[in-house]
Amino acid sequence: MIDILSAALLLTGAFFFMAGTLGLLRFPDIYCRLHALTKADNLGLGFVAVGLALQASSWSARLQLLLTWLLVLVAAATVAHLLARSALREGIEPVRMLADRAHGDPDDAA
Amino acid sequence: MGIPMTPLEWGLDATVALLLVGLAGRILFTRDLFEATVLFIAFGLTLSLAWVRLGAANVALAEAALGAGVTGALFLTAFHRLARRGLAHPLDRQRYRADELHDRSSRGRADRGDDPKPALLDVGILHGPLWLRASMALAGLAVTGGIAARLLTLADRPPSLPILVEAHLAETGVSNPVTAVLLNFRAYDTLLEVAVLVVAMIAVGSLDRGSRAFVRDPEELEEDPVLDALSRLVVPLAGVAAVYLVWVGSHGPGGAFQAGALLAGAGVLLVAAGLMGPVTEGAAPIRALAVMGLAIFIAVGAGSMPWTGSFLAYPPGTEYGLILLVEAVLALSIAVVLIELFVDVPAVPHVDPALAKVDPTGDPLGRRISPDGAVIRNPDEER
Amino acid sequence: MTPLTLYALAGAGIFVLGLVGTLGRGHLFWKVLGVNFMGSGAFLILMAASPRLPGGEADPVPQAMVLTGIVVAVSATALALGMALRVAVRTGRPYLSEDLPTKTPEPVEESDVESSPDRPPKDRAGGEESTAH
Repeated sequence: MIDILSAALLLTGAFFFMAGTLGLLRFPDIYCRLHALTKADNLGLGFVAVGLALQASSWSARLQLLLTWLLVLVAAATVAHLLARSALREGIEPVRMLADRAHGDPDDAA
Repeated sequence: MGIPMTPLEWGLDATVALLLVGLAGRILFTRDLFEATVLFIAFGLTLSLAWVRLGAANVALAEAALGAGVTGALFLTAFHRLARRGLAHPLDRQRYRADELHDRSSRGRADRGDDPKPALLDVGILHGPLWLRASMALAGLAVTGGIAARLLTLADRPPSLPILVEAHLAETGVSNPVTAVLLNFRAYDTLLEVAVLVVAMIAVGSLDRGSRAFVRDPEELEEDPVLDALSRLVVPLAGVAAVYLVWVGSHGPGGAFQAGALLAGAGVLLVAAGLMGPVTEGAAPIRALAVMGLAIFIAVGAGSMPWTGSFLAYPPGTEYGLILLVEAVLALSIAVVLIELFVDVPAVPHVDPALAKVDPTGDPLGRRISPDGAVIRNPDEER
Repeated sequence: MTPLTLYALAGAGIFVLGLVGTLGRGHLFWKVLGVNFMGSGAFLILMAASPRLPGGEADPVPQAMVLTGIVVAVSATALALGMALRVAVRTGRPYLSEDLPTKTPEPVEESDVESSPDRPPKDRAGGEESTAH
């Protein structure tokens, strides 16, 4: 029973990793890609961590898994923030803004 | 490991191995330095995964922190330096004849008006004549084939060295065989490797005597509360983990090199976030910390000679304490040396084009040198 | 073929790729990268070709050697990168002058080489006078 639950959680995690990677490859600009990658991968890692915690032999191992996940959450959020900020500073415009400007919508483009 | 396992595990190993070779090929043959740098970090992390699969957790720890972390940071900062001087855009795709190439490299394509950047040419044997490239490819294939043939015919020997290690493990004072090899059986090796680290730091520090620059210019560094918060959270955790790694190294995966690598990673984060520094090469406490590991190692090795009769042998009964002492100091020194390397490597003095024109035949940096040997930074100061 | 052999073969491939990159690329950063790959390939072979212990753990002796090898490789990389960076900044070219193809000297053309001002002319002269290949 636990094995099945754990396998289901791991597969769900893998699905979110796939989705994140798909977003990285298919989304139009760096901001969307960061969004897809950070959000989906953090969730995916959470599922993997829970799935592994079910298999873990001790509570200390489960705690380590939890701490690892939290640390990755914080690091990924910071890295995404830094990447997006330096992209903005380099003058890369979000794709929505470009599209709005192309359609002559002065409110959004401003 | 060693025996073929489930197809799933075999598939995982095959994927990791193929990924390693593919990444190496892509990195070495791309023309985009930034791509190469980022993929190099990915290669380091994949290699770390390979070490885990090979049953070498000790090595995997060091590879992730050093091979991917510190080396990656070194390449990234060096790339950043090149980029600021306009020398890091992707290499020119075209393959030139020698005459044409020479014209372009000296004149730059900027003069022709078709490219704002000066041409950065892709040169070397790989862009030489066809026969040269072909023979290089053939030679490479031959060497690979030779190594592969030898590896495939390697007889399945029973392990011999590990049995020796196992047999004498009880005498070493530690129960992690890797630590026993590093600090007891082959302590001579380890001592000299730490010496190599210190020498490398001195060499890098002397590349630009008198022009120590901090890796991040203050005006370039902006307040970033998010990065600050991450550093303040991660660095103390890394400190705790490093202490744990030194302690656990006596009976499990861990030890001075892994702990030093982890501390160095934390230090690199601090330097990159602008929270530590400016770190100067001339600072005496830094230099003292950097050589302390080597000094204590030698002192312990020489100090116990009256009891043991040979260099680097620990008197019976004191092994555990002495190894732990040496490991703790080594971890600190390794971290300081690696951070110092990270700070010093990109510290290239700014070459002012105006000054280079003033005195092109003098100092290679184009600086003016006054009669008393001081560098004149601003030509107007002279008057 | 066992996974061990697989990794050893990958190590051989990475070593040779690194060798080709070191010898074949002119850009100094790729030369440093190439030497790094040669090291990684050698480490992989060393580790994968050593026999396993009964528990699947790798032989501690090559583990210790690779561990210190990684640390030494980082320090050597730092030194090489520091020197490559200084060559690039001071000559305006991230290559060694031997890697630039030489052409038969034409003194008339030598005078109009003043396009990138941050490079002292004397370095460029050094690059052009060298006879490589």
